[in-house]
Amino acid sequence: MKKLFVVAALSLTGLSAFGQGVLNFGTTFTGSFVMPIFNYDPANPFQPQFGIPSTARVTGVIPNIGTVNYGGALLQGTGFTLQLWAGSSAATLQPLYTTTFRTATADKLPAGLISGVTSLVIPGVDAGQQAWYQLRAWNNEDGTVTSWNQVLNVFADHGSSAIVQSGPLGGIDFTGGVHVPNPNSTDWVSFSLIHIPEPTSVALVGLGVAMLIIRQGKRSH
Amino acid sequence: MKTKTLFFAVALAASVVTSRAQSNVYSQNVVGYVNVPVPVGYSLIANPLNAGNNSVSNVFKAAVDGGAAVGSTVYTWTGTSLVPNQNDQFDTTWQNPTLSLPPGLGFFFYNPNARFTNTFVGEVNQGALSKIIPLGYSVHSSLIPLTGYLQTDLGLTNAAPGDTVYLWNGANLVPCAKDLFDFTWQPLPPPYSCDPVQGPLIPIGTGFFYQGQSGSSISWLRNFTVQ
Repeated sequence: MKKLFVVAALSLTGLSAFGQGVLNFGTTFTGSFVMPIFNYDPANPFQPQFGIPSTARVTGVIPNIGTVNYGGALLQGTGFTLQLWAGSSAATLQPLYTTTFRTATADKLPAGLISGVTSLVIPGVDAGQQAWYQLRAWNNEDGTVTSWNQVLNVFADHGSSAIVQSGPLGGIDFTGGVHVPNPNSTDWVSFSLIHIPEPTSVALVGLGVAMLIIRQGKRSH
Repeated sequence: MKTKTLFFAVALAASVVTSRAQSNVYSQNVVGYVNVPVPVGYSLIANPLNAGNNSVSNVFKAAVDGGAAVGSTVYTWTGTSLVPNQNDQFDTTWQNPTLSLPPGLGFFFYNPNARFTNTFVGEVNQGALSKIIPLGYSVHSSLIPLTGYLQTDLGLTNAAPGDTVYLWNGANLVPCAKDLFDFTWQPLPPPYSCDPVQGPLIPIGTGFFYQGQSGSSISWLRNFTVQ
């Protein structure tokens, strides 16, 4: 008993089916991580942007080594949704937390961020093991688009981070060992949405193209 | 109780005696303050005094108002994991401003700024104090504002063999178990102190994890009166 030791660094692969590991999820961890999310770039709406923003673009971003100049505005308010997806592997992600964005009086922080930090149990991942996670954001069309599936069906503006791996999760592991503190969700970088045109607009453009092709065909005969 | 040997770090600012002459009932409230250092990064600390309003927004009010604790996060233990309560770096409000941090409760404090000292102000808890320590992991601190050995000074006399106290060293938990066979507390390396009979030394304003292994919860009782 005298040789007890803390199992804080244990990695118990194979026990993930019984896991109750915990991740701190947020976009702001003061002093170490402030990572906002952007709307699509009006000048290039179909091209997503990724990377740490330049502090010339957004003051207060941490780490302050970013070089990406985002063309879109910082996401603000309840019209945009942010969802955390996480799981034991990149293939088993599931939605665990949904929220909306903070506001600011201008295109500056804390817009682009969410409020607070939330501890989340990652299903299937034991404390001490690492989880996979991804952030997904979208324009919720005045609250009518409430899930990622719906996003893809109704062609809402949307974007997502890369799928990243967390640090060893906090909590009590399968063997009874305690792991503290929880890791923070600081493994991802900023991203932007892409714009998806309204289906009616797409249909009109398609119709126009079709008409042009038909007309071109008639001329050639 | 070896109160003479204790390091009583409370600076007693006032001893207030109130009386109700008609009934000859007297109550003596001792109030004071305790300065608790808060290093950069994670620390496991506690509020040693009863401020009446022991909410996080009250006990860290001065530190937030002065800027030292802006952006900090307090983590409380649920029994299975830590729950964060962040002070917003933009508007300096707490995520859950009413979170209660009474004496006896340990909590993690994440300080993203420079080291500072938090001054806890309030009343010294006196009388028959008690707390339930559940089976499994829980986070505690002394029920009274004293630095002392857990078993003899702070009154946790019924720790079961196999129960373990974990102290935080800034990066990891350092265990101190009560031996299953000879019932002594295991020694701790410096800078910690653990007496085989008296248990680990718990500094004032410090929290600790407790792992109860006896099969049931135990009661922590401490009778305390300021002489």
